[in-house]
Amino acid sequence: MVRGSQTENETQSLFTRAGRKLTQAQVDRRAMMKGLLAAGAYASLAGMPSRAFAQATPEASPVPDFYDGALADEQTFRLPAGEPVTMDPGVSYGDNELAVLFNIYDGLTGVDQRTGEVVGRVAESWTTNDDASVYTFTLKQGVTWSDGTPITANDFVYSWQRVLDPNTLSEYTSALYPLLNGEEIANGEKDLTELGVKAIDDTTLEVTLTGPMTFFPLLAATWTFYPVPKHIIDEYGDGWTDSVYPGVSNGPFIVESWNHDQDLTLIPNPAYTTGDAVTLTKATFVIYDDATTQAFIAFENDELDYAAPEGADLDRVLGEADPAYQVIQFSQSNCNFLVVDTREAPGNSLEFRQALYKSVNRDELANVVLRGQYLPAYTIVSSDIPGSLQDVSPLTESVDEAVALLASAGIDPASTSIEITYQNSPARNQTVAEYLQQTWQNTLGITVTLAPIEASTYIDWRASRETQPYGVYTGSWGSDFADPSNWHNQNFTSQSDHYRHHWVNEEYDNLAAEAVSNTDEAARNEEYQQAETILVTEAPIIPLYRNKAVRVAKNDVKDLFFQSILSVVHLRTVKIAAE
Amino acid sequence: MNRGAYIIRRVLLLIPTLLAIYTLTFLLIHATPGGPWSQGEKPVPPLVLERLNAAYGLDDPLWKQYVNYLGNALQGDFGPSFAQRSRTVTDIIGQTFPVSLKLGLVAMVIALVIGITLGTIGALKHNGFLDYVTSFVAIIGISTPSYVVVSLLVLVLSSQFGWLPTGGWDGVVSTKIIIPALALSLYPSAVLARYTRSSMLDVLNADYIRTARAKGLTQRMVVIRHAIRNALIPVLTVSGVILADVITGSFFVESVYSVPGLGRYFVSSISERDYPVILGTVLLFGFVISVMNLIVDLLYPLLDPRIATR
Repeated sequence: MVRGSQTENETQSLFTRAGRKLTQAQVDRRAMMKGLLAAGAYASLAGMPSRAFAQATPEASPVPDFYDGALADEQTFRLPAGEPVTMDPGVSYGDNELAVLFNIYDGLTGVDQRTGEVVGRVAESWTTNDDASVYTFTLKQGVTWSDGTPITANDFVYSWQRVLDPNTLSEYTSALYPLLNGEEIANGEKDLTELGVKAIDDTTLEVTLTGPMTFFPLLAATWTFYPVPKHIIDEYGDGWTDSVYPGVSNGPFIVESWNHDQDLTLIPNPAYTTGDAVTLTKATFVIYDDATTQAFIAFENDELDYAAPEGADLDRVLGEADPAYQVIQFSQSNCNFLVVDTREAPGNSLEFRQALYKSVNRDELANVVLRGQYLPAYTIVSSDIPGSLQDVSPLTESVDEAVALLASAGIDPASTSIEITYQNSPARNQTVAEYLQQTWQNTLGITVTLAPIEASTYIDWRASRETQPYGVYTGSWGSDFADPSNWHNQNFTSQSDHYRHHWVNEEYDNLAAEAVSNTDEAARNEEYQQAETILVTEAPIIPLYRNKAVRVAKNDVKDLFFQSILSVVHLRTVKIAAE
Repeated sequence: MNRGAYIIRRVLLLIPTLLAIYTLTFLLIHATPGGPWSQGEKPVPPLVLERLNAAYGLDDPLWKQYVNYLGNALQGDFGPSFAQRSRTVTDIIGQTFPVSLKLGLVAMVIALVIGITLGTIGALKHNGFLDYVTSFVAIIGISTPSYVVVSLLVLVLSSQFGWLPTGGWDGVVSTKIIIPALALSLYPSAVLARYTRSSMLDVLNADYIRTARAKGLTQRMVVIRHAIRNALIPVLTVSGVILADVITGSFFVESVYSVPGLGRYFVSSISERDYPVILGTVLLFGFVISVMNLIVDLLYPLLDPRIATR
């Protein structure tokens, strides 16, 4: 299994409320978005249901109610998973283990999967200074690890310093760069003790950030910010996550056993006080090599209570309803797009790039070529993110206009060729590339060649585009947290140029730089919308389609809620209903 | 040559063999583009990459990595897994190889029983109806890849009829072993059947069989007392290699049926560029094959006293 694709799909991040059953996601998102944007209340609204789900009965409540019927005597739940890469939240890059980590740890904050709201977990409450650059968290009283050892503010100081400690070898240090001096410490330029986190007393934690960050409580809910048990790490060293069973953690569940490549079992944390008591008495992750393709047949054979089918299985799941199970659908905070080399001909021509954008029929791509398992993407930033264009593009799809654009730029299609590079796994990349090849050859009359590369060489290949030319290639991004800076500033500005599009637009760069530290929500979102308008119009990145999640669960499984970012199974609310 | 010296020479020959395997594998994995660290869309900061490379010795010159790994491996330390940071290669092999070994032995027993029986029947009924039936079965067995077989078995026995689980592992005494063991045994059964049949045909035409018949022995006695034992020598040769193959695990069968064995690591470690795991699994595979061949060679004299006296 390729770790990259897993990361992209599973790290569909936090803090939105779009994810829930199809029937409950029926809101006119644009009208609602507008009103809330005006009110500057984005943090509580986040993701709206996307286009395909937006058809109507507006009176339906977007937040599902809890199940209050009778419960079964046996409260056990079996779900598929991939073998965790590491069970250390401070080191994890967000791979298979996320499905487990979210259930066995509590951070300062968490995202309520039912409402999409940020709530306190270990933290009772928090306050900020005027420009939201210093947060003071007050911890709940009497919080302990599952073995009874107390958790204090010092545990967070230790855990966050540990992530940045060079000896920890975390691949995800960048998650803590929002903390003052975080990046400098990771780069070895400053001492660990200079990190912007301080325990004022046992229950008061002061966090100093690199600048204003209204969305920090969302970040604090992610796994890299979880506390880790110092007394266990001191005792067992590097292998601490796989040394003592039941494992020691502070979430609603703890690990009872882990048979590598086979199964991992969770039981309730006996010392859990930071949230509501759980209903399940046991949850078993059955480990598959490739859970997306192998789990559905096991689900149908009653070996699992839940699965996330993909590919051919989806045709069946999305076809005629099967009374034996429930289907849960929600949009994911993601975009799959093309990256254009804007330094080389023909990609250096604005008209050419716009012609590429306009000649693609995204509805056909998502609904016919990709069999309705994906959603068309007309803009780049996913609609669940504040400050996005809500999938309303400044460019229109039109083959005639595309042909005219080429002519106006003096580009002769017959002598123009372009190469599409794509990762050979997952298989849909090939399908999409072939579709684009056919479309562009037929409508624009240009020559299109295909260049598949092995998925594990992709990062190296992309890095070497720094100096080497290319035509276009397929890339994707999934939100880490619900903020537009995670898209624009992190990836697309000329300073970051994460995808090596080499595109430079001063106005865009300035807008993104201004917006990121703007504490006026409405103005900030406005700036990001302007920035995205420029990005889409100039088309160095050409949006194609978005991921949609389809999950199945036994009918007696209740209160299983998903959000569009980090949509892993959160077991804390899950219940099994009586027959 | 005396037997003890022969064994010692053969065991010593293992050293250059394994060294050659190690060298070739080492060169190949480092000639392959791509690296072990996060291959997803999210960037790993350059400094972190540097540190990871330093911590795992990947920033050393190649010759040094070659020597270091070899030195550690000789002391039984095959290094950490890059892909699964909390496990070492020794952990992974220690946990997964026994599973593959048990599954492989069960499959091998099935294959020996089916293969030798079918092959013997085929030879005895040479060009008869049963011969054609067994040959047909053997051809199907040889030409059907194991992932097709295991998928078909899951589809029919688990999905359609619901008799058996769709995957998993619970040890040898469990319903979960039936599908993977059957799938794994099909190809060896077919190969063994073909070898047994042709070897048996040769033997049945040999002079001493005619003599045995002339002495008035029944067909049964001829086959059991004289034919099978000699017919099994070439079968034994091929059994060694087959056994080495099945006990080190099958990527397809183990992946499709979620058996926590070693087989899947042969492939996953390559796609993840998990260098220590690649080296560990390849060396183990080379070692097992060499040992099997050695054991087979040592067993020949027991079946054929002429070899011992030569």
